[in-house]
Amino acid sequence: MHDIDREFLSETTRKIGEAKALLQDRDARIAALIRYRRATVQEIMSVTGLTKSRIYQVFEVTYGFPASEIERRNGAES
Amino acid sequence: MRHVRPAGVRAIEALSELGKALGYEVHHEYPVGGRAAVDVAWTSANSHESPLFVFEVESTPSQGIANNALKVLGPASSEVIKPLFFFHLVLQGDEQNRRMQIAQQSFGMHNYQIFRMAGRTGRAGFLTAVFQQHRRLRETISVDAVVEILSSPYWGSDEFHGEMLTAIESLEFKGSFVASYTRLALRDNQFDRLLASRLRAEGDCEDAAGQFDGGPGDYLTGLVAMAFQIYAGEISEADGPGALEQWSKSIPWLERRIDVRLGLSEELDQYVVELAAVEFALAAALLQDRKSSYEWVAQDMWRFVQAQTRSPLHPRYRLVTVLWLAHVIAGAPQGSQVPSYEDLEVLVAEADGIPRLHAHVPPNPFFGDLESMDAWYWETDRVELPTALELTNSPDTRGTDRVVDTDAAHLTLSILLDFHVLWDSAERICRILHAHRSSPDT
Repeated sequence: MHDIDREFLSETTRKIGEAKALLQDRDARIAALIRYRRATVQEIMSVTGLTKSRIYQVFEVTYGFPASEIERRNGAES
Repeated sequence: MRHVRPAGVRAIEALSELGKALGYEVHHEYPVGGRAAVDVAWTSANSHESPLFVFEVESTPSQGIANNALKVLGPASSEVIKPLFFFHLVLQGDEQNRRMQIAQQSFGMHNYQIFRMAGRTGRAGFLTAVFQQHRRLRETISVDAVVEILSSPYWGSDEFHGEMLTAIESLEFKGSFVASYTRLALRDNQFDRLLASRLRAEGDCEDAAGQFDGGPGDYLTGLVAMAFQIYAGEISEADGPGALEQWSKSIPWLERRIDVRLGLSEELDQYVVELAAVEFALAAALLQDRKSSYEWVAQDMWRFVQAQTRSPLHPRYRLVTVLWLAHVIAGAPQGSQVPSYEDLEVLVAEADGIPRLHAHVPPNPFFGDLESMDAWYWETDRVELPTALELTNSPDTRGTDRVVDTDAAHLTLSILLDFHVLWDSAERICRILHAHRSSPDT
């Protein structure tokens, strides 16, 4: 393998690793913000540009129940 | 010949119980060769073939002592398969008995040893030899079973327990030492130090997982275990804060052991939101007579609360931790340097107060009951944080029956083993935290 290819693969792999870690951090933050009622799904959508279904997916993977349950409780208590 | 004298019968019963506890099949009057027999033999479970260990019990060092050894060790192996070890026990007789010495000299080159069972030293030597031989065959041991055996009057005093259990540890058996020692310490606090020593030895080794037999202790971070080592004197009070700080930073990829990491799973979140505070409070309860270590716990708990304020938690979800910290501050030893109570009042105000129902005692851990957990945080009937004095003098924290359970170690050890105790522990922990401050007559 040429040095230039070796360098490219090594560097992009490192960056992908960093990006994955960032992605995990962001998703954990999103899930917790909704779970502990510091932000609504709408607010997350407007800040991140993520779709509602993607945010729901992130939440449910973490907590095992739908984010709509929190939204329902928010509505009931506000 | 079968033993009929009480001392011999008791010794044989004790050998039988010991064999069963170690997982062997026990046989009495086990035949060897033609018409001879040994008093007790242990074979592998479900096997009556060739005994692994044999025991011959002599009431006194009589003339026939050598013959009894010879009936097993004398014949050719084709006639009598030799055991892995022959334990020859003499119940009475002085230490320098000539016949015993001759028997040992004659047969000691085989796997044979003669033991004088009179007195504690003799029995300790015998038991240690049994454990050594057992270790040749087995890597694991039931510590509970051994403890039960040692508790029988035959083997002697409680002090003997510690000596024998230390011998077992030095043979590097694998077993539930921590859980068994916790049960032992719950029975008698003279075993606190034995437990603390084992907790320190196991530290962070990989095998430590599951050391509380799946009880709450396995789900906590180890702060309570550290506090217990300081409480029991295994770590001195002077070294306490340093040891706690070192422990807190001992995992390379974590900034602190107890920190706020949310959104990874419901279970981890529950630890951050409600359980970590209980762990801090339990550690504080144990350290009430260890002022500088208590201060470390209170300060680290305050750091944890501050980390919660920077996290995605709505202010209401910090309330369990804040309320527990209020108790830790209010119950602190006189003259302690602990975080400011007024800072907590601000945090409670940010959460629109605390539910009136739990103004004086934090809720018990909710443990996965999402519905009741959320219902508590969003309860509408709310009040301000009571003053420190009100917390200490509340009937809830003094005990309405005026009987204050002040044994922090007993409660803590019970919690480490039993979820049911943890689930109903909040009021008891509070009482212990305030026991030094409150007086039943005030």
